[in-house]
Amino acid sequence: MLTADELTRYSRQLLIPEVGLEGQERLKNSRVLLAGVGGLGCSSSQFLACAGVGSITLVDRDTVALSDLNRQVLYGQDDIGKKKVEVAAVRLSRLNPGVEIHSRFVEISEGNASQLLVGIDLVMDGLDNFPARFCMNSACVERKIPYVYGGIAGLKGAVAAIVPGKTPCLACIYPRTRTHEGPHPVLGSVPAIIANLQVLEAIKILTGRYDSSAGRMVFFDGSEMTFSRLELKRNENCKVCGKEKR
Amino acid sequence: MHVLVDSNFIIKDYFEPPVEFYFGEGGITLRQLLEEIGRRCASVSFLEILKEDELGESVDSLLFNEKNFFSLPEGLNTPLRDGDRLKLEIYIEPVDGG
Repeated sequence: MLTADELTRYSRQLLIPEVGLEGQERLKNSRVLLAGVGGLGCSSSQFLACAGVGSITLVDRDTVALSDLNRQVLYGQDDIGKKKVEVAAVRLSRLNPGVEIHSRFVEISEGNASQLLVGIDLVMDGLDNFPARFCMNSACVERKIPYVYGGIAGLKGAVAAIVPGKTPCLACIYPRTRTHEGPHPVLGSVPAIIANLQVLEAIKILTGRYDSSAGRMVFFDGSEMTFSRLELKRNENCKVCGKEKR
Repeated sequence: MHVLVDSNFIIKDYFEPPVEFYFGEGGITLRQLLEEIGRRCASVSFLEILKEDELGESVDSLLFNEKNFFSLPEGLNTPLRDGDRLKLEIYIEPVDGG
């Protein structure tokens, strides 16, 4: 049940038929894990909290650096050197005190990814490397938890909602990747755009409004101001979700 | 003449494999088929199916009647026949920053 305060706080989104009272209650009962509180995670966490997702668990192994401040909008100059998950938890609680915020200062690995997902309904990708993403993808497939991938590179970005058993998983989409050398080029508005598309997909999944019949992938190119959409098929031979794994 | 094309991706309303391509005239080559696929995929700007005289960088694998494209003696100039089958798999450049 939503409280009187919540009915007021969320009154504008309650007017959206795709959300409504039932959807808002589903959001309140949802538990989201945010993997990485960097450029993507700083934006997505704010809109997840504002939207009324009941519980958000922040996972990140980093501390705030001066070079983060062009895009990681939860942090300020005074936060340099502090743990991102702790600073972010304070900021997000201020944005919406009705949301439970949990902080985990750990590095995501094969050894802990599955355990981190206990009690989680959806994972938001805020990571900056593929090894950690693949750990999270495998754990999500294993536990049948939706995973909303987001990635950025310069003025470009990509988003895909992965619903295990229905859509391709991240390993179907990217059967081969390469290791990025050095820092990623990034302008703050690009992760903000991609993160907000991720939030939109996450809210549709959490409110039961997501049509997961196909793996939709959206690409944004900021230099051309274009969005492109592909639907990807599952790879029957995928090493993570292929037929041998089913 | 019809050629059946399958792939690992869909562009809604434009390219929804498995799809049959019909050609009313003879003398069609694999290059012309790939050009037609490229036209249907034009809304996705980064998809490169053909690059001048070779396969584009988005093509991960291309099977023509279950044979690897690179084993075809005539390559892109391979003439098409009724009932030919093409399997096109694309590679998406990873977007890994966050």
